Amino acid sequence: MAVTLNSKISYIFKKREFGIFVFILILLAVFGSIEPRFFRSDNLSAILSSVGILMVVGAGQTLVIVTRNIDLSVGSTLGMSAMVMGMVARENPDFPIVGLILVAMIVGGICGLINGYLVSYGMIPSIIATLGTLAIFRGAIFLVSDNVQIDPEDVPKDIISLATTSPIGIPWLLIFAFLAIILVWYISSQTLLGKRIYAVGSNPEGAVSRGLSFNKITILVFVFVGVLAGLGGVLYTARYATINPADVARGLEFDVISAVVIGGTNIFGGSGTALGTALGCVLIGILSNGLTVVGVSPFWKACATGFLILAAVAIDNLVRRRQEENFLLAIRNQRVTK
Amino acid sequence: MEVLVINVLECKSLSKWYGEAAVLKNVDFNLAQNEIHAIVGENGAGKSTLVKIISGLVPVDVGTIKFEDSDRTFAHIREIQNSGVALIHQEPRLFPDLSVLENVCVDYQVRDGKSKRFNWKKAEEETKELLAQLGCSFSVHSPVKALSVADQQMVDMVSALRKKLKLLIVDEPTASLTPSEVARLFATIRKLNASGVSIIFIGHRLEEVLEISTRITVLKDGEVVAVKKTSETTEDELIRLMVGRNIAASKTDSRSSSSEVSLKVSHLESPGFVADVSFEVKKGEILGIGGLVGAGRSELLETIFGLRKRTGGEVASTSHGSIKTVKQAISARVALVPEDRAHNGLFLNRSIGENLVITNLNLTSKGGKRNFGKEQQIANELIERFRVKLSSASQLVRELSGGNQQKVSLAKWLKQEVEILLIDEPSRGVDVGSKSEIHQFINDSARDGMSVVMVSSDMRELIELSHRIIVMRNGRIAGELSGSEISEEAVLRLASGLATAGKGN
Repeated sequence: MAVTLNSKISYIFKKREFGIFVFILILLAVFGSIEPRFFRSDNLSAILSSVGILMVVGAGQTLVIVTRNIDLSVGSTLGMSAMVMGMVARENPDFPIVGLILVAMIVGGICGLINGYLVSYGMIPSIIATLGTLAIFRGAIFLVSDNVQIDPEDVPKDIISLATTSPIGIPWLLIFAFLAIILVWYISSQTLLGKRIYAVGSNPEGAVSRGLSFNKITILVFVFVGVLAGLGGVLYTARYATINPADVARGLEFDVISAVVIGGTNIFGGSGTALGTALGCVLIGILSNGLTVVGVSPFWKACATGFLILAAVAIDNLVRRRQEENFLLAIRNQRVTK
Repeated sequence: MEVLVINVLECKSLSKWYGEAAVLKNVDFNLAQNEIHAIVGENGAGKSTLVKIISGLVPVDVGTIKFEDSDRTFAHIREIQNSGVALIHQEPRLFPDLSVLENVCVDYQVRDGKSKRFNWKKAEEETKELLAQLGCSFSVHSPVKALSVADQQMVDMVSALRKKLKLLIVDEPTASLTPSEVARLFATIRKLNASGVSIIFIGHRLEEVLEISTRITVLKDGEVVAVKKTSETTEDELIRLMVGRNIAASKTDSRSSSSEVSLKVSHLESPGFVADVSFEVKKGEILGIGGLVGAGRSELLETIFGLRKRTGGEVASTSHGSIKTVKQAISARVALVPEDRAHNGLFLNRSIGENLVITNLNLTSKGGKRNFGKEQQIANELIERFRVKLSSASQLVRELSGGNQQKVSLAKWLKQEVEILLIDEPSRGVDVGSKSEIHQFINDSARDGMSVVMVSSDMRELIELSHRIIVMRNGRIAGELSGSEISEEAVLRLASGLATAGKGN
């Protein structure tokens, strides 16, 4: 019995990722046939760039959601990191590029640390804590920058080339994205730390009774998503070369969380995969670009993405709940009618 | 073969309070090297609290704990676990989304200095070996949520075995197991014991306790009443000790309830919880439902009230006909006062007044508009009648004590002219004063013709209030007691499956 159910579960997981993949193919076919320009190389590379930024942040967000938390502040964190990095570059034109990347990641990490403390020791539900820091960090961008934007001529050429130059045929931006996804895959499937992250999300009380440090793990995942959002800030700067305090990555949290949830990460914690998130990011990237290219009004575009998220979560819940209910009943029935 | 006894664990005068209620009073508990020591007692005797304290889940208020000659009174749970103590719960505390292997390894400390990487291959082999030793056949890669409770316990056990286990505590492990699963569990416990692990076993089924243990400590109301060698005691003696003085049967209220049946339940089934339950309640009768935790008692009340999915059987009120949904139940003047007041019975963040009138809004509102004056009047009436201690009717319910919350929970049904009251654990978490007032209320209501179906784990309450008692076991009726048959002993016997006597079934 356990064996058949096990194979059934893994079958459904496979089906889930496979399902996203098929949906991506369908979207490609539809957009391509309506508007052949969709497949032009400049459009495809535009899609890939935005997908790459999503993936870097989404990889971190996956682990946060796995612990039953959520980080709504990723857009502001990314913007803050990009702004600080841009200002450092503007003041010190000779600052080494690796140093700039580190600056962005450290700023992101600090934002994450603040979120982590608020959620763990501060005991503020993450949805409220990060809603607060979403606004606070955004405000801080204005304060730090004095509302002066970073212009393309302030950004070092080396940073901009991250989005275009390719050491092995693909631009750096995408390499970072893949590395982030691979890192999360590695942590979640190969390390004990990863198992503890999933354990905390799967059964918080159980985690405490097994002596796992709930607060440490919570802080860790928030710092992790913060650092990755910082890296996202570098990639954002590489792609757009302009950092406007009001616009930078505004609303990014919506796309990131959508991608993670569509990718199959359970919003109630305990399960989710890096591959699913990667596919979810590709799906969101294609959908948002494609709808624009074929000329759908921005209002309808927002609706379409919203519908997609609701459908994904509804289907996911339905399948999951039915499966678990049936199983629990089967076990209890065995006992009562013995 | 009397040898010098070495104690691995020495607990001295442990006391623990939850709020004002003492759950443990001056408990001394010693565990000898390599013994299987059982702890028995009624629900609420303090067994679980004692082992939670020993395993570090709950801090003790007064007293000292020594484990292997070092003081562990205030040790952190991780420190206690690392010294080789493991607690296995009745409902295993595992991570349903993780696989068996991952569950076992999740708290493992990587100790070898040379490599920080965790060796999954080695861990997998060790886990497989341990599972094989325990006679488990499931794969280490299957997710834990796909296993039965018995198999999950085995996973819990293996997690404990991965560390150098010295003391294993099992808290009512057999409650949800089938006989063959129990046999496997006992074989495992014996094997561990033979390899040098000391064991504390909490059990409700005395037969099993006598089978597995070498020594038995009897707890009653948070105090140790006896420590017996298993070979020198009997089931009867244990039951007598658990129950205390023979207070039973003394109080048999012989006032006859009327012969008019008010509620008829026939062949009720709710998948997984209630199986083929039939009974009748007469007008003015208090029917007690006894049984162990998990026997399906609360679920039975919920099924009758229409809250729980029903797959067979019928519930009918004599005056209002068949009851299938909550709405029908309420209009048939049936009321349910649930066990978990905080979650199901009250709106904690609303005022006492609002809580009292919420079920009576149809009496106090006209055309959908609330009449606050009338609400206030009804609230005051109920507050006075129940002697709820409060500063004002607008005080929030969450600020009240457990006893007063329970009174509000009861009082709100009063104006509805309830004919049938289903009440679950009426005095759990309630102070003595409120308890007697609640009992008074139940008695008075029955005298006025209300039928009461009461689930209670408090033996004395069950016996003193009930005219008749049905004992449940594993979702079924194990037996029925009435009149002079009613005693704590008889209820315990039926509940633990020692006797099959009784008219029920």
